[in-house]
Order: sequence, then structure tokens, then C-alpha cells
Amino acid sequence: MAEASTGFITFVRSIWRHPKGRIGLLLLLLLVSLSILAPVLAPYPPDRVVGVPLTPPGLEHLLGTTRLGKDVLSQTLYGGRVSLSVGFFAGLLATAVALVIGVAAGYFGGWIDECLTFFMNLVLVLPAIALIIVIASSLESGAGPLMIALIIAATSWAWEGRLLRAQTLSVRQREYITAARVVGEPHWRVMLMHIVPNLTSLITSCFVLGTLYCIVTEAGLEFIGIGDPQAITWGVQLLHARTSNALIVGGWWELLVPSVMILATGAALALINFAVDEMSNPRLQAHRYWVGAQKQGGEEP
Amino acid sequence: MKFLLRRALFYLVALWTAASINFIVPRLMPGDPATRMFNRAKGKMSPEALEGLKRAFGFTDGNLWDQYLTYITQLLQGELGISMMFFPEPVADKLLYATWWTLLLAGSATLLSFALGTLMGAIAAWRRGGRFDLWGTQLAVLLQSTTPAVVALLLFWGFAVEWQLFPLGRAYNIYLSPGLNWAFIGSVLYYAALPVLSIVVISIGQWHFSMRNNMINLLDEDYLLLARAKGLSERRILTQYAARNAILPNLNAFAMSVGLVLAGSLFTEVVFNYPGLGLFVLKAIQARDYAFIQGQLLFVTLGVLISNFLGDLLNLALDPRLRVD
Repeated sequence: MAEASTGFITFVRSIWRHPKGRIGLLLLLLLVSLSILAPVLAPYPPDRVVGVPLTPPGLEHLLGTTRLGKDVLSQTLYGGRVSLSVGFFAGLLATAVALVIGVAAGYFGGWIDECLTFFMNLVLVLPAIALIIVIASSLESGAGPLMIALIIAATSWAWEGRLLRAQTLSVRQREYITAARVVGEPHWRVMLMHIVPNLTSLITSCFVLGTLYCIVTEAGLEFIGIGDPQAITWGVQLLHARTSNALIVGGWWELLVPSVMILATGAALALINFAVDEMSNPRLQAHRYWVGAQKQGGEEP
Repeated sequence: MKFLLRRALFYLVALWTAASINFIVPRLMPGDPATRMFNRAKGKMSPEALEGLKRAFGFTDGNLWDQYLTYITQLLQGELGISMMFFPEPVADKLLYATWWTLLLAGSATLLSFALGTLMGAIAAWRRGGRFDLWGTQLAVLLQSTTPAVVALLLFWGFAVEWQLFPLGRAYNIYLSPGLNWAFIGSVLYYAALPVLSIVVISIGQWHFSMRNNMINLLDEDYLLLARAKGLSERRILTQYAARNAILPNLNAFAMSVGLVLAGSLFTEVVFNYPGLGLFVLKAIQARDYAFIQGQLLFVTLGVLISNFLGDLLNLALDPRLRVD
């Protein structure tokens, strides 16, 4: 375990050394701390009417009030807690399922692979959003944020699973895997100690993109009214901005603030993924030194 | 042929899975959707209609297996039940109407973003490290990393509410009567512009990014060096040699992307009040019109499967290895 955790720390450190990765990590850190510190930072309770409806941003209400007279800043800070934690949870869950199924399929091969790959392809081809709508709308009281996260995780792990399977297939060919088997190590140990560590960058990439997908999808679903309208999340903020026609009557801040938070979260995670991608495949880098090296080789015009 | 047969079989199983999910999910919840819809209709619905609805959901007397058989038989006859929000019209008719608008929106947005994104990706890879690659690629990917709802809302706010350049919603000017005349077609295009733009903004990054990465991985290949040594023009090498091979995975992903585009179209339609599947689904959720909600899953699944099948055919045409039995 100690080995795995130091491996993880070095990995995070190398993302940190990457310029895009560092911006992403800092942005993410900012968003997470704003959400964690919501009870300290929020000037008003998020769910109460605390001012004149649709007050523009000003000293009294830094980011204005909603059409119902709730404080936008407080709602956004508290909303981040739910939106982010639910997204990370769903991303983690999806990656875990993908890891177990993908690695098992790639490692064992044969009929196990056939069955699992068939299952992954099936989940992949079923339209996730349409499926989520069927499940969520059959719940009598609407779906809470956690329920939405579970459904998103259950419908979104398949593409990660396919990537992990493909990578496992290539790792499995290596000689030290055969060596480990010959020495008599059990299957679970070979997978856990020899295969999974070789998938670190892919797993990180899957987790980052999975979390990104979950956060934005949850917000989108809540925006169209699938979630629990009483919950305080960024998606529900957007829902209220739409249903109360805040935009038409000029309350742009009610839309803009949660939108910026969702955009910033997406940007942070995408930047981190950029870094992971470029670290594992340096050819993808768009840095000037790369071009310089190429010009010396005389390849580029 | 064997390849196509395998795929077709797989798609049938997928469709059957979607239908079975529609059967199972309501049974995990208390009560049955037909009776709930009947109660909400408050006398609008006749007891015969309730019976029909129960058959469509498979909530008949008898054990679970009999219920399932009833449900599947009804489905095979194209019986999706009666819509409650458009009572007494059948669900299938309304779904078909909405599908045309969604196809217009999602179809044109997909083609547009595929063409633009692939072109941009090719240019970015060709001039790797240039200004366009540095900023364009990152911008494209960042725009992709959000929900279509946010992009559509922001465009709606800017172009429709603040600057009033585009209409606030609907699919065409309601004072025009639908028909094949220029005024009507122009109005349809004008009303579709913003919704299409929001889907394009979201999905262009995917094509840009994958085209760029595919092509960068090809740039060091020997056959490109040979093409250069032959003295071919850069333009010809780019289009006929590098891009031609790099586009194959993109074409593959094109069919797979239909599900995502349909989802994107759903959020966009809600924002722009566009009468496609997404808006109807939203109304169905509010009205608890379960028959419609179940119908949309089958329709969207069918759409995804058909486009996947077309993708397979395309693959078969492009990749001779698949034609070997």
C-alpha cells in the first residue's frame, strides 16, 4: 500500500510540474476549497429568502439575488459542495467498475473476455441520458443528487472499461507477467501488483474525464428538471434561472454565476487531463521546444 | 457478411435490452404507471384507454412471464401506448413528429461540427506548436468540457435576449404556414441557427482533438517522408496522404457520437423551446407521461443503433480486412 501511495504522490507531482496540469490543479483546489469553506464564506443561508428579488450584484449581495430573493453567492458556494462531491463520487465509482471489468476481461481473455466485452459494448450503445430519464422519472419523488450520480456512474463506465481492457491486453504480453505467474503468484496478485500499476496514467485519465462527465451531466439533468428541485446544486440553480424566466427580465447573474462555476470545473479537469495525456504521449505536446527540436531535424517547413 | 450478421444480431440484443429495461424499471417502484397516469388524467381517460395502457406497459393479470410476453407482443405490433399529455393521441405519432425536428437539429449540427472539427484538427496537427494549435486546440477541448445546457443558455442570453439577433424559441415563425416555400425554409433555418450553433460549439472539440492526435501520430510515418522525397506539394501530402489515413478513426467515431449528439440536442431544445424530442421529453416528465418517456428510450436507442449500423457499413467499405470471412 505504501508503495502505491508514493507512486500516486510522484504522479500528482509530475502533473504539478506540467504547466497546464498546474493551472488545472490550482483551479480545482480553489473550487474545492470554496465549497468546503461554504459555511464560513457564505454570507446568508442558501435556502432562505434574504433580500429583494433580483437585486443586481452589489455590496449587500455580492453576486445579486435570485428571482425568489435568495442570495446567489451563498447558493453557489453551497451548490459546489453537492455538485463536486457527487461528481467525484460518481467518477470514482465508474472508474472502479471499469477497472474491475476492464482488467478482468483483458487479463483472463477467452470466454470471460467475450462475455465482459459484449456487456461493455451493450452498455456503451444504450443511450445514457435517455436511460437516466426513464429511471429517474419513475422515482415517485424525483431523483436526488446521489441517485443521479449512481445512475450516471452505472451508465458511463463502459468506454473507460474498454480502454482499460485494451491497455491490459498489451501489458499482459510482457515477460515479467509470465514470470510472476510461473513463480506461482495468484491471479488477483498479478493483476493488482503487476498490471494495475502500469495503468496508472490511463486510470487517472479515466477518473478525471469520468468525473468531468458526471459533474456536467448531473448539472444538465438537474437543469432540465430531472433532479430534486429542493436540492442546492449548480444544476438546480440553472433550473430556477430558467423556470423563473430570470433571463428575460434581466437577471443575468442568476444564470452567469453557476455557469461560470460549471465551466471552471470543466476547464480545471480538462487541463489536468491534458497534462496526463501529454505526459504519457509526449508527441502530442504543442510546446514550442518541440517544434524547435523538429526544425533542427529539418522536418517541418 | 458474417461481420454484418454479428453486428445486426448485437443491435437486436441491444434493442431488446432497452425494451426490457422499460419493462423492469416500473416494476421496481410501487404502483403501476398506467394507473398513476389514469389517476392524474382525472376522468379524461376512459377505462378502455386504461386497459390499453396497461397492456402497453404489460401490467396485466397473470404472472411476470405472461406480463412480459404481453408487453413484447404489444411492442412488436408497434403499440407504444397512448400519450397522456397529448391525450388521446398515440405516443408513436408524437414521437415521430418530434424526431423530425431533432433530426434536423442534431443532424446538421453533427455534419457541421464533424467537417469543421476535422479540418481544424488537421491544420492544428500540420502546424503543430503554431499559434492555432496552441490556442485553438485548448479552446476547443475546454468548450467541450461542459454541459450543452450551459453553452445553450449563454448563447440564448447573449444572442437572443440581450442583442435580440435571434428568436427566443420555437422552430419557425408561427405566422407562416408550413410548406415548401422559401419564406418557410428560411424561417426554419433562422430559428435553428442558435440551437445548432450551441451543439456545434460543444461537439467540435471532440473531432478537432481526435483528428489532431491521430494525425500527429502519423506524421513521422515513412510513407509521408517518401511522399516528400517524391517532391509532392505540402498541400497534397496533407490532404491525400496524412489526413486521409488520420480521418479513419474519426469516421468510426462519427457513428458512435450520435448518442451524445442526441443528448446534447435534448438540453439545447429545452433552452430554445425547440419542438424536438428533448422538449417533448421534458414536458412528458412534468406530466408524468410514462408511456412517452418509455417510448423515447426506444426511439433514441433505435436511432443510435441505426447510425452504428451505417457506421459498420461505412467501415466495411473502407477497411478491406473486415471483408475477409
